[in-house]
Formats: sequence, structure tokens, C-alpha cells
Amino acid sequence: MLATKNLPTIEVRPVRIGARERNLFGILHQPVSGVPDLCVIMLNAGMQNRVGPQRLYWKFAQRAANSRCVVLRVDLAGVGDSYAENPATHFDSHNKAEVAAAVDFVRKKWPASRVVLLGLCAGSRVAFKAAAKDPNIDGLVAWSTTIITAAQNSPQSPYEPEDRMSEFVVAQHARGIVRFFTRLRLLNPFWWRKKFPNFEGIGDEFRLRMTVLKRLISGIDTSSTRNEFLDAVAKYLNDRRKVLFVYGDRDVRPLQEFMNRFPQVPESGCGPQRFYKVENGTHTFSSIDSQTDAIHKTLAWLEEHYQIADEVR
Amino acid sequence: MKPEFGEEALFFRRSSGANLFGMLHFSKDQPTTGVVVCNPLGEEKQFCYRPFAAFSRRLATAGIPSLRFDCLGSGDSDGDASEATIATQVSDLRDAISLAASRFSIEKVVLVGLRLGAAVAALTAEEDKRVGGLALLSPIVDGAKYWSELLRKQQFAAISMGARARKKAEILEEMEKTGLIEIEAQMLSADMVSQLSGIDLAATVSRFRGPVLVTGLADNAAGKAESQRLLTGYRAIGCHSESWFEETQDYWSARSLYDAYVPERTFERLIAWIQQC
Repeated sequence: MLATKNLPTIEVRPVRIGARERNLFGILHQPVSGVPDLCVIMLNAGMQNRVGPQRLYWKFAQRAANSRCVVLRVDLAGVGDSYAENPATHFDSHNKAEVAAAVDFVRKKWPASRVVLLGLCAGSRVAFKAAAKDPNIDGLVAWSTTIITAAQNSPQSPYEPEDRMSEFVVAQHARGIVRFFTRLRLLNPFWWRKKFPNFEGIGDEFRLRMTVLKRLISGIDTSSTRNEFLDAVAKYLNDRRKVLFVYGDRDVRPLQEFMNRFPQVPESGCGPQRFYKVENGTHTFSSIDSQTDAIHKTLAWLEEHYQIADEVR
Repeated sequence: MKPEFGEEALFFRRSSGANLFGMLHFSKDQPTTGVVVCNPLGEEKQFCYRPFAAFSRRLATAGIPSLRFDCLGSGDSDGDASEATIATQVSDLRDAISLAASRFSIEKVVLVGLRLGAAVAALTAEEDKRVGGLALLSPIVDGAKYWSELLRKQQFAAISMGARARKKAEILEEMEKTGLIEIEAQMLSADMVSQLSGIDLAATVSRFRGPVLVTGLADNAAGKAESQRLLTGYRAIGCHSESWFEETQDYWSARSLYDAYVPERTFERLIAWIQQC
């Protein structure tokens, strides 16, 4: 009965999602037969399509999908092959209503299955906002969640004040100001010429340093300004809902801002909320070893909380 | 907005068995030609994905159907990157041409390739008579130079992850031993590296006789020089060729992704050029 052994147990197929317009696109990894216990919906890492940075999402889906776990990798508006357009590219450009459409899609197919959202960076931000609106989302896996988006490489979220700074960033800039004076850079024309060719950026740099000094003098305060994302995370954690945060230990600023902002999430233990640091992991886990570690730890957490291990595999 | 003429996502079989992902973009009229898009390597492909989706949708509106697809070991297609070589990419492209020809009921296709995809398109055109035109966008003409760039990027990436700085010779020695090298979190085989570094398009082109278009960045002098060398090669064998180097920003980098940059002018001119093919 050699042929039986070689029959595929997982089917991978493209799907269109969305109530009327079917505007979103996804790739569904589902069992050929049987009813899965868990559906994992993977949400875009910013503007990167459903395959994920360095094929990370594809690799996770290949490992995770089995007879007990379905994986849906979805392209939200403005990304990949979705019809829906979205001109915004900042950290909060993803729309939680689209996440709800993806959740509805899997719930219609498998009403008894639990749903977990998984996203990297901006994908995890919209996951929290969607979960805040839907108490029936059973869990979250948040990879490299950017807590404060100001002064990152990608466009800042418009829902944060422009001069928003975390303690970590203030400390970094404060060290820069100290070096500026102690190394007498103020008096060094070569330093000025190298840092500000054509004098561009001097005004912005001056305003940045004044902001840092104001923060230092008046006291660092990162908690007073709220936005939907931070409120969603705080509520999610206070409600003791299941979440795994995964950060690369080389993704220093987001990791530090997460640890400062949410110190109640432990790094170990067997509770419903945990964070894990991937050794030599960058923001997108841009090495095979760090990808393998992030995927392995996520699967282990899912198996612990949802019993999705496939004995057949 | 939903495209006017329909799209179909599918998995199709390679001639050697694995499944490749493809996206067909249909057009209204009975076309005389279609387009197959040939993607660049690695993360460049991720970054230009949405611009090329937009390009295919515009082609459809202009009456030209197209197929975008993922080669073995990339995107949503089967397989690991270590299974792919330039030869497998040429083979995958030929399978994609067969799919496009069958689904669009056409006999000829125009290949539109970006960066390494342009090189694969050019190599395929040398052996596949169904290729009726070549649009080579910022083509990789010198594979050895491109491989050096990839290696340098990997060296810097490793340092940023806390690894010690490794010399090129050391990395290549390890590749000789294991037969694999990690580039952008994918394992490339030594065969792939060997075939990639052996690409010298200007010296290779000899059989294709159709129209050729080469485009590139305005401020990339080295790229322009390489492209001119390639154009000289095509003209020498009698191809009608055109070029323009007007783009001021690339559309295959992380920066372009977050700027949501689409090379509107290039795509507009490209569509007009394809319509003439």
C-alpha cells in the first residue's frame, strides 16, 4: 500500500477573502480531511507579502500545518495580491476590520476551531487591535512587536505624537549629547561637515536634542500618551489572555521598549503570557538559525497551549 | 479595486514534479501576445512584489494578459532555495511560458525580467523560440559582480547579528566543504553560486532575434555601462533594441517598499513598448 503513504495530508491553496468584494488574498494550508483544532492566521509584516521576510511565514506554515492546525497567510489591503488598496505604509496602516474578515473566513469553515493571530512587527500591532475587538480570538503570537514607532526606519504611526520617545531612546540620545560636549564636537568642523553635509538636518537635530533635554529635565514619561495599540495590549494582558512575544536579542530598541513598557510579561514559566528572546535574532530574524529558533519556540508554545502536535508526523 | 478582467491564482506543476505558484492576469480581448514576469532573487523579489502586481493589472487593462510566478524554492512555490539553480530557474520559466501560452491561447510571449530575473529571461530566450520580446529591467549582466555584492551584504548582515567578521575566502572555503552558503536566510547551493557567477550576458547572447528593451536607473553609471555592453551584444546579432535610463529610484529595495514606490513612468512606457512587439 505504498500509494497510501505518499498521499498528501495537507492541501495548500489560494483563497480570496472578504464578505462582498473578496478583496483580500491568502494562501491556506489545510488538512485534506478532518477538522483542525486550531487556525493560525498570519498577518503581514508591514508591507511585505504573505510569504514574509526571508520566506519566514512560508517556513512557519510548512512546519505548523498538520491535521490539527490550519494556517492562513493573508495579504491585507495594499499588500501582495490583495485587490484592496491602501496608500498608507506606516506601522498602523493595517486595518483591523480586514483581520476580522480573515477570522470570519476561517470560522465559517471550521466553527469549532480556536483562532490564533500571528504577526511580525506591524502585523502584531494590528493583531492586538483586532483581538481587543474580538474576545473569541483565543491567542496571539507577537513577533518583533514595535511598541513605539517614532524614529524607526519605517514611517511613524500617525497615532503617536511626533516627538514620542521611549526611555531607551531618550537614554541613547542623552549619551549622544554628553559625547557632543565631552569630545568637543561642538568645536570640530570636520564632525559638523560629516554629520551635516550641505547643512541639511541641523534644525531637526537641534529640535531633537531640545526634546531630549526637556524629557530629562521634566522626567521621562512614556505612559501618559495613549493610543489604540497600547490600550489594546494593556487590556489584552490585563484580561490574562494567551500571548507569546518573540524578539530577537539583536532587535535591541523594540525589545527594550517592550520590557520597559510591559514588565509584567515573564520570560519563563508556564502561564498564558510569556516572551522569548531569540539568540542573534534581528527584527525580521534574518538568519536561518534565528528563524528556526523563532519558529520552533512558537510551535512549542502552540503545542503547549493548544495540543496541536501531530503524532502522525 | 477588483481587476476588470479577472485573475486566477494557482499552483502548476514543474516538468520535474514540484508545484510552482502563479498568478494569471486575464485581459478582455483575444490577445496576440502575453507577458511572463521574471522576478529578481531573494528579498528584491519581496520588495517589488506589489509594484509588479500593479503592473500586471495595468497590462490587463491595456489588453495584454500576463503571468507572474515564483520559481522553485522561492515565494509560495515548493522547495527550498538550496534546490534552485540558474538552470532550474530557466526550466521553471519555460514551464511558465507553457502555462501562459495554454491559458491565454497565444503562441508568443514577452518576458519582462528585473535584475537576476532579467538575466534568466535573457538566457531562456536563447533556447526558447516562444519568446517574442525581452524587456530587461536593470539587468544583472555580470554575474560574478552580482555574486560579490551578495556576499558582501551577507558579510555585513552577519556582523550585525553579532558574528565575527569573516573573510570572503573563509566563507567560500566553507561553501566548498558543505556545498551550501547562507544568503538572506536562504541556503544557496554551490551549483547556484557557480552558475550565477558564470553569467556574462553580453558574451552569451547569440541566438535570440526578437526586440529587446533595456531600462535602468539614471544615476547608476556602472549599471548603465553593463547594460550598454549587453545592448551592443544584442545589436551585433541583429536584434532591434531600445534603452532608457530614467528611473531616479529603485523599486526592489526596503526603502521603496516603505515609500510604496511604483515606477509609473517606466511601466507606462513598458506597456507601450510591449504593445508594439
